[in-house]
Amino acid sequence: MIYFEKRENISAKLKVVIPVVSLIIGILFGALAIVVVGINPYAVYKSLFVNAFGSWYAFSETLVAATPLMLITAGLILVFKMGIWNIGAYGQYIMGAIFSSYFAIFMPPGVSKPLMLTLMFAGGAIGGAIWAVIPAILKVFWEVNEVITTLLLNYIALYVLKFLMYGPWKNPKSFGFPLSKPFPSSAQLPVLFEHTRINLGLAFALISIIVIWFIIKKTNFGYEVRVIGNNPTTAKYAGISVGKNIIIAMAISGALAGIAGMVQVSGIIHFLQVKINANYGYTSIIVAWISYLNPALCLLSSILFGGLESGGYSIQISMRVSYGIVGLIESIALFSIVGAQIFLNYKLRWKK
Amino acid sequence: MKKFASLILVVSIVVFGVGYMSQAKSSKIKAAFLYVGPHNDGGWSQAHDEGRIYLQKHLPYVETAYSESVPEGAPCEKIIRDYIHKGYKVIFGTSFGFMDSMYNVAKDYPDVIFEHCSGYKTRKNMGTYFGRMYQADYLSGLVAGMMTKTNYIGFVAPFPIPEVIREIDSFTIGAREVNPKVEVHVIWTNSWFNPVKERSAAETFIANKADIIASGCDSPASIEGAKKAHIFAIGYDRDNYAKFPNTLLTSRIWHWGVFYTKTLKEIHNGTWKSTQYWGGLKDGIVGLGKFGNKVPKKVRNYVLKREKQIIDGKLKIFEGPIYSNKGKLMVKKGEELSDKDKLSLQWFVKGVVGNIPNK
Repeated sequence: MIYFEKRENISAKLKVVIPVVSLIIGILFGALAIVVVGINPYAVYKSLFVNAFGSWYAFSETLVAATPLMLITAGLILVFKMGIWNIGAYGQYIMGAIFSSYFAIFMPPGVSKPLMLTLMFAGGAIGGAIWAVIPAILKVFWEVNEVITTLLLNYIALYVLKFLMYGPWKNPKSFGFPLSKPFPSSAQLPVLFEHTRINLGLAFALISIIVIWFIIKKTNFGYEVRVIGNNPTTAKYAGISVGKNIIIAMAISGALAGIAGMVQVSGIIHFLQVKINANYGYTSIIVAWISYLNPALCLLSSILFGGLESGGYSIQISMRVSYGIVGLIESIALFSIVGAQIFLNYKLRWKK
Repeated sequence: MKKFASLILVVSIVVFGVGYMSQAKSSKIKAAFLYVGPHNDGGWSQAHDEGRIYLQKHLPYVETAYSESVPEGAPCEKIIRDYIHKGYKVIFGTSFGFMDSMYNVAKDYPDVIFEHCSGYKTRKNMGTYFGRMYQADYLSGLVAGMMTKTNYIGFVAPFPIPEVIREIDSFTIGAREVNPKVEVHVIWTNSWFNPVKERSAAETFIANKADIIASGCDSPASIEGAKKAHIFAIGYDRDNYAKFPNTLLTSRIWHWGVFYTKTLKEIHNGTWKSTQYWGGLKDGIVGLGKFGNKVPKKVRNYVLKREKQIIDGKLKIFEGPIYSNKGKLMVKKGEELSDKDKLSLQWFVKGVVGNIPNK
């Protein structure tokens, strides 16, 4: 029979080979699916690549999609490292968007741009952090499972947003449609490169990755996070305050997701509405795993996923394939990359 | 390992060995359509896609393409720009949520024509289009009012926005014109396309003795619920008569092809101008579907008579006196609700049981 044996240690070579091979296998299975519907898979993949990275414009859109992924993933890496499963980036993102939009919608006109953006940035971070600290406190003091609470808070955040959009924050000039007032130009993040949608949010994202890397590798807090992740009991005996660390790490993770929400409404959409692409909160969980919880790799995998997203919509146009195919290719690729991670920790053995 | 590698190699050769397809260049006008749901959703998006196919069939100088399940919000803008980079000159956005994306892109491409369905923002190169579905809603309300025995009609409604409120109101006006005892009960699903929620809303109505289910949502799930309970349903978006001949009383139908051919003809002739198009029964953009098998002759004749009066301009649906369901006189006798008020409608007429959230 076939069984798994735990690896004692893993060679550097395998660490590279396994993900690469699994990606190739995923691509091949995706190709099979495309062949079944009668389209040339080579052309589809080529088109996907060209539409994600083939021109400055395409690449700029890939970066636009990668920006929220980087921000959220950086935070998730920190909490995942200590074995805390924050599934609530979706809701933290929405709360960040709501808190920052408050300033954009209600501040008197004439507030200077730096002040407005600082307030919105702080609002986004605080909104996201509050939404993450609630489950952290429940976890630390009453041992409530954070998977359940973070997940459920996502729905609450969505309904808070819906309530505001259909009620008090609805623009009276939008004919009853659920949109906020458009943000004044002082509340819009500056664009970094002309003729693209890349905005200051990308800089936030890059800085956040560096900061998270620094925290994990170079600070005492980061060291404690890693110890807790390895074994919470040991950590406790070593005199580490597990509860305090959980709350701080969750606050950072939530704040980054909230900032991602702020970047989206302030840098891209320029008003608040119900659809603010909060699904980045779920995609980031996958991005974090594909990065092996490594902040440097998170940069690469966010760009890869940003490319899949923006290129994916384009192959519908250039190849006339249905949207289902795009989703299929993406999920098969993901499944094989994430699935193959078992081979990093285990060997496949055959016994008669 | 070697065996494995060669296996991969063989599979890749087989898979990628399929011949390369080339795309021919053409001098046709290229028009792109953005759908919010799947192109074959059985409702809203499919009605638009049928319009696109109608257009393709009637105007040989047009080439069309579509993107389905386009997310409202940030990615939409990129999809539009992609089409323009690929040489598309006309963009039809068929969901309200595409409005700001279209509006932004339209600014950058003054020689591309944008037509946005159901919105209100326009530019020199961006028009809006919609249909006076409330006329068909009213007619289907007449059918429902004459056919109900329990006087309890359920209306499965997506979002509390003016478009949907207008549908419920005009439907109720029709039903109560022929049967003042009718009550129209509303459940919000908060989604355009959610078959599970639509079905469970229908079942809630059925448990409360409803004998007719109408829907403003985009899937046929509520009709299926009605069929299973052996009661009647009023369809929406497209005519599903062939599938539910004994369940459907009638349907309120979009004929988008009428507008799409009209627009492309104007673009071809160089006479297109940005307008806020709001056609009705007379223009053929909205209409009733086939009557169900169970609808008697007498009912059909009455409805057809009223339909003709609407087309001839003799019958105005939102003509006073109209009371709100809170008992307030909203439209005085002898007056008619203006188009502007219809487009921002935020109250229910008398006879509707339900609330508009946060209002």
